[in-house]
Amino acid sequence: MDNRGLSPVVGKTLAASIAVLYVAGMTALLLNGPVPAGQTAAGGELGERVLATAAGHVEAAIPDGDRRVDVRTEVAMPATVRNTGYTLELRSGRLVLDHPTDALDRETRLLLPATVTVADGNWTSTDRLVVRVAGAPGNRTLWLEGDR
Amino acid sequence: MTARAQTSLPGLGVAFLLLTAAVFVGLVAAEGALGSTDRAALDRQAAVGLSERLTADRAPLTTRTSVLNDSRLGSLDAATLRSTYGLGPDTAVEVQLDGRTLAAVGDPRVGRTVRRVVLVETRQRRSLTPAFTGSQRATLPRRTDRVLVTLSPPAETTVSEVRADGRVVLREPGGLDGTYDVAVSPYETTTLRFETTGDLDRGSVRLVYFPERTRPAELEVTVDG
Repeated sequence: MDNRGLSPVVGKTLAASIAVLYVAGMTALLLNGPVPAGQTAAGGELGERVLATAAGHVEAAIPDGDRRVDVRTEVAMPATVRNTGYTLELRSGRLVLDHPTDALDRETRLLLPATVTVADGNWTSTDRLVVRVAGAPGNRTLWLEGDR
Repeated sequence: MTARAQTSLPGLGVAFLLLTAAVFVGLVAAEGALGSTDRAALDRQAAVGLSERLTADRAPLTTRTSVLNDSRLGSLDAATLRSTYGLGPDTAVEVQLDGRTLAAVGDPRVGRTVRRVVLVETRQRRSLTPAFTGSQRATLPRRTDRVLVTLSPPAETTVSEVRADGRVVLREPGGLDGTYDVAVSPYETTTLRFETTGDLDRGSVRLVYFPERTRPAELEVTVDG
C-alpha cells in the first residue's frame, strides 16, 4: 500500500518518455526521407522556372531597331534555390543552371537571331544579373554581367 | 496494484496513431501538390519566346507588332524556323494559324502550346478615277499608305501641285505629267487636291491605292524539346 503513491509518477514518466521517443523517431524519419525529397522536387521546379525566366529575359534583352546599341538589362532573380546559391552559365548558345545539388541542374537553348553572338560567361546568384547587348545591328554580342 | 493506475497509456497510443495518420495524410497531400505542378516551364518559355519573335515589330513576317503580313506567311518553313529563330537540332516546333499549319519542324507531340491573337493583313490594289465635277479634290474611300497618281491632264490644263490633306506632295510649276508614287499617312483618310490652271475632267487623273484589310487570327506555337 506504501508504493501506491508512485503510480502517477511512473505513469507520467512512461507517457512522457514514450512521447519523446515518438517525436524523435518521427522527426528522424521525416528528415531522412520525404523532407529532402520534397525540397529537391520543389527546388527542381523552382530551378526550371528560374532558368525559364532567365532565358526569357535574355531573349527579350535583344533590342529591335537598326542602330548601334549598348544596353544593359537588369533581371531580378532569386538568390537561392533549395537554400543554396547557384550559377547560370552561358555555353555556346545554351543557358545552363548549375546547382550544388546535381539533381537540380538544368539547361535550355536560347532562341536568338543568327546575328547575335553569345559570349560564354558565368553569373553567380549572389550578384545582380545584368544582361548586356552591344554592337551594330548585324553583329550584336550578348553577355551576362554580375553587378554587386 | 500499479497496473490499475496506467489508464492514460492506451489514450496516448490512440493519440499517436491519429498523429501518425495525420502526418501521412499531409505527406501524401504535399506529394500530390508537387506531382501535379506544370513541369514544362522550359518548353513553355521556348514557345512564348518563339511566338514573341514571330510577332515582334520588325520580324520577317510582320508589318508591325502582332500584325502578320499575309503575303509573307508563305516564306515561313522549317529551314527558316531553324536558321532565323535559332532552334536546336532536337527541338520539334509547329506553327499554326487558325488551325492551318504554316511550318513544322519535327513532330511536337507532348510540347507546350502558346496561343496569341494576331491580325493578318492583306493589301489590296484598288483604282479610282475621280470625276472632278465642281471641285479639284478626290477623296480616297479607304486608308492607305501610298498612292500611285497618274496625271494625264487635257492639253490646255497644267497641274502644278498636288496636296494630300493640305500638305504638298508633288510640285512642278511647269506642269506635272506621268505617274508618281506618293506616300501618305495610313492613319487618316486622304483627300488629294489638285492645283491647276484650267479644268480637270474624268480621266485626267487616275489613282491607284492600296488599302489594307486585317482579320483577326489565332497563332499557335507548339514547342517540344
